[in-house]
Amino acid sequence: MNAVLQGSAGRWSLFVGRRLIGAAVALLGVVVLVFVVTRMLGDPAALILGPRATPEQIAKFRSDAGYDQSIVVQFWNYVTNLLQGDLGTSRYTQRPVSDEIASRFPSTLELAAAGMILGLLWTIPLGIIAALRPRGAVDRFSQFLVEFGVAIPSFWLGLLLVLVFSTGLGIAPSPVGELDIGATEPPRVTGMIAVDALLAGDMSTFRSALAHLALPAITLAITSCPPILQLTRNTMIEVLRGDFVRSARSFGLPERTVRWYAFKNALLPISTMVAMTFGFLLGGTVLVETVFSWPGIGLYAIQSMQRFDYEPVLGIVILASAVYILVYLIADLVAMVVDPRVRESTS
Amino acid sequence: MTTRKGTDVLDDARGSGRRLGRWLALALTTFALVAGVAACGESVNDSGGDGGDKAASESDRGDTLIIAVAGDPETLDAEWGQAARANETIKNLYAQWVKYETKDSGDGYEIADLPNVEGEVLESIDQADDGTVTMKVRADAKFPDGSPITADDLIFKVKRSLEMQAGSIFDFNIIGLTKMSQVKKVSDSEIQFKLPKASPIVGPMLRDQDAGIVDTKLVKEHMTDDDPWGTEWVARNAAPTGAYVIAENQPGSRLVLKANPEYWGEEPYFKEVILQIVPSPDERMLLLQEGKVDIAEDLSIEAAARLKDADGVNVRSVPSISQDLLGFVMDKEPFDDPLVRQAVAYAIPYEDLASGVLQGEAKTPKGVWPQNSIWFEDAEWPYAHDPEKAKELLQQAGKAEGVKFSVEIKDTDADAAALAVPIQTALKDVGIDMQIEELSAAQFTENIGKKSMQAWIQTNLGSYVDDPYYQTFLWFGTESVLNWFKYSNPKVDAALEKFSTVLPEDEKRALAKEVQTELNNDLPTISLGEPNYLLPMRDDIEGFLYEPDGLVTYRTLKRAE
Amino acid sequence: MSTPLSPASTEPVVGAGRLAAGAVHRMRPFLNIYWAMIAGFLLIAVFAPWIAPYDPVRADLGARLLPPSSEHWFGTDSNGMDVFSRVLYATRVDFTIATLGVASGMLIGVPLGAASGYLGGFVGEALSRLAEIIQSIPLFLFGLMVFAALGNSKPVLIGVIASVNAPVFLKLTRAVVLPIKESDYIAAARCAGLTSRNVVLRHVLPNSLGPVASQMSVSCAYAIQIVAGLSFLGLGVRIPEPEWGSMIQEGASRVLYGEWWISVFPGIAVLLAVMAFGGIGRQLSQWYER
Repeated sequence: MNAVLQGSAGRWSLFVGRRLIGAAVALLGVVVLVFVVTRMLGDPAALILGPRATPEQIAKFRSDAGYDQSIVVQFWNYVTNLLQGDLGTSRYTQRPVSDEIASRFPSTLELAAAGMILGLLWTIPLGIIAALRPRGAVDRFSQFLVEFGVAIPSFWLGLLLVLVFSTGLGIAPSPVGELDIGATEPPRVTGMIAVDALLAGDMSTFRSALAHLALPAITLAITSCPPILQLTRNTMIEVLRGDFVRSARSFGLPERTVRWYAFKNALLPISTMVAMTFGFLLGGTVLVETVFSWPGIGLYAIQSMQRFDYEPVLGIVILASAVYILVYLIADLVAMVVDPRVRESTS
Repeated sequence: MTTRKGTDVLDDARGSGRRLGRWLALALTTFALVAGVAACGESVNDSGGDGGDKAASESDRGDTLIIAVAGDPETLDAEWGQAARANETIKNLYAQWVKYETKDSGDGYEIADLPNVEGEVLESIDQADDGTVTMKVRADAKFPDGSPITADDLIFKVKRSLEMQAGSIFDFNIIGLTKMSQVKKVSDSEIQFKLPKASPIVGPMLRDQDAGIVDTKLVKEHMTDDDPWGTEWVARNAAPTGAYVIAENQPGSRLVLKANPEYWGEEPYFKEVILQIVPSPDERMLLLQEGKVDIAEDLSIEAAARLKDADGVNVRSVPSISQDLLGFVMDKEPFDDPLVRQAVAYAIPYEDLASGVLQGEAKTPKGVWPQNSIWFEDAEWPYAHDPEKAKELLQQAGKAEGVKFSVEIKDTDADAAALAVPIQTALKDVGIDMQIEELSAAQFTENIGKKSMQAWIQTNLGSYVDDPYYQTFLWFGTESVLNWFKYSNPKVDAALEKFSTVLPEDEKRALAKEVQTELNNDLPTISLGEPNYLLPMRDDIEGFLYEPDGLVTYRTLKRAE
Repeated sequence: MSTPLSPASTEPVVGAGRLAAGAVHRMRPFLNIYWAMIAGFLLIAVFAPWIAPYDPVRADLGARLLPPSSEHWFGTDSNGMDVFSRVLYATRVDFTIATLGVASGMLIGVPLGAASGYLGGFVGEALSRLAEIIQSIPLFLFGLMVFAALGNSKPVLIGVIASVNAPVFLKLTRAVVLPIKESDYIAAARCAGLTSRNVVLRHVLPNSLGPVASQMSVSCAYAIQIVAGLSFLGLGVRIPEPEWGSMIQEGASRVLYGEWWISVFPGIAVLLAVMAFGGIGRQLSQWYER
């Protein structure tokens, strides 16, 4: 490994540089694409001004909001603002988009993190056990779970869980969001209700937050984490078949140690996959948020879209895309370091 | 290469299998733990158990009223009020010039005693035959900061409205007030409007929520060069003068109103009113059932009807002048042909819609004009569900091979969708192919303004003022702003002219009948049903006042002790 | 090793048996549950009008919200329409949109990917970058935007599926083509005087058939999920056309009243369809790897 890196330090930084530029170009492309599409839509003037609005009122509203300038000018303004961290203003609430997104992002983060944690709890151990006995009962069962988890529509699973555990058995709260309505939120530190409740020592709110988090997080854990199970299993199998494992065994190392070394080797691709999955999760909670009325950025994007308030939608799409691109970039770079073949084919 | 004995492998497999099995067990236990915590944190739904901080139950909510609404009021500036949700908030934040007199409906609630008004900000209002309206401000009318409301403030309001040219200008224009030069200050407490002629709806228009008086000082503080009337700030923060002022505003989450201590009218029971934003209609229903909110607004008829059976819930059902309309846009195919419009009118299964979709909470139509209107007249209305007649008419129109059109509805309008589908089936049976297009509210509003569709369905359309001048002016005149039918009938326009003056009642009724006859003949729109106004509330809420605008007045509500 | 029975003496019987056994043996890969499910779905899609007991878009206000019974196996929805019939008919809609979308995506992505891999250089990189851009946008947000801009219709839905899949096929084909490009036998072919175009068509593309076929199946699986998801958000299919996702959405608000049948059955259909396509895709890729 070290030899590889030393020898190609120069080529390495050139490569990383190229990839970074590629990522930047990708992000710019996303901004252009999204911008053009949203500008093809109508604007919220008619909705905000109501049905009795006259054409003059609508025209005035549009010119006040800058919608009457050429699309190039609008785009230029948008990008320059973007580079300064200004994502525009919501036409609907008149608040800066960055504020609106920032106030809702922690909810999505909390949901994605909870889903991720629950997901890891079932996928990694199961993947390891399956790898120990390929084609064994556990392996076949976990294969089925992967197929099933990937195939099941997340929104349907969420509804099923609500049906069974909330409406049916009554042990889970109704899908009304993070807490019951009227319940006071804990003082806002991170914006994540469960965490804030814990920090404030408010145990009853903490329990309620967890209760409301349970069903949506389980939904996410089942539907987004199967690839991790698959990868864990495959990677472990590959590593366990590998040369160094055979040599370790032939040296007489106890099987436990061998397994542990194997796992550590598998950790790299697994954690890459975990990071990628988490990145995707952040942008992909829309359906689950809809079912559970979870006040995150996914639901906000949909609501904004329906109101033709597209500054927030632009902001969310750009942020989510930036996360995806970043995650792709890191995964690519990691693959480069790990697998020489990949390096060759892309240089 | 050494081979490992089969038994060694097995042992090791078992060993690590056991250990990983332990890990898996740990994972499952954690899972179960979390689930268990979740279950403990939330006791059974039905008992109204709540997780976390105990949501205020009714008994200790006392003088706080919680209303579950679908979204934020679009604006808090009275001049801009025309969007759906804003109107109710504006009505409660701003004191209007006058309010309706009220009377007991006999059913446990009050209704407006149309068309009589009494002063709210005004002490008295008089209209002379020549169109001079003399108004005197109440001596005890005050702004929230304690300073008195004077004639200057009334003039400021009119000026703001006329110059901003926003929604509120409609209220003044329709009575004939179009220029500031028509407004005269008589004294510090008296002003006059010089209308070109006496208007029959001065009272109702000055009662409209958009006409509410604004807090002059507050507005002036936020006027800028770019924004000469301070509307940007007022839209977000309001400049209230009414029974309630803003305590807290969290867009997307909730709006909290508190009683205005300087309000000169009867002190409201509820010192605090919380508008809780709950986007999902099912959630709003749940919350009401569980007693976590006092009133649930913006529910579909079906949801409201289901609540009738719920414990602790009372659904106020008031006959209204609202209509669910199928509107034809008459300047294009296929509805430029009156025979086709009539065919559709015969094809619609009115009874089924009223009982199946509208849950029995609606009346089948008796004309284009809403039958609950005090100005409804029995003009000829032959239409009933008669598929054979419909087919005959299509034959006559030369459309025997079939008619095809698409109808647009708002995707947020559950009742419209629920009506559209059975109508589609019914029309198919007579040879009419109707495609249903669901559009976002924004797109729908845009299209309907441009009248680009062939037909549309909207539910709960109703004029805020029950007066033939107002209705015709708004909907049926050739230039009417809500004439989404592209309807033009010179007789109706002529009637409109006459309605704009003050007429003796019998003349007015005769004219109303004439207009309704024309409308029934021309069929610019078909009423699919005339739904009752439904307001689901907890059964300990009293003092409900129904006005034709269907906007809830918070200051009259009380909680039974 | 010699067999006790000499083939010659028993030839007619063993011969025919062997042929049959051979045929069955060749069919074995297809004799699994996934192919059976797909076959089942296809049969349903084709024969829906004959199988379905009711008209799927005929409203019957007298029969609203009935639970499953012998008359309505899957119950009825809020318009009184038979859920079973709707689930059957929805097969057509979902399968058509998914397969057309994936096929379009493939037809766009594979040639572009081949070009990108073969031509290499700036063009190749640029195409690859373009694919990445499209793949970076969160799917459902992208879908929302496109629908809002272009209207709610099936062609747009197919277009969205196609644009989601084109980058996938582009990158796949590119990844197949790139290593081959430099390989010996391509060099040999060119030495023999074959043009680039010939090389690509005759030698390079056939190599990608395997991965593409497998990917198509996997993509169909995802496409059905996407269609259901977008319809759940209210995009793509007009009411009252039966489609699994919009049926789930319609039933979603009923779940709280305990009226479960409207959402549950279409969801099962989606689950089975996605699993079937996924299973076939895996099988194809294992085959190819052999």
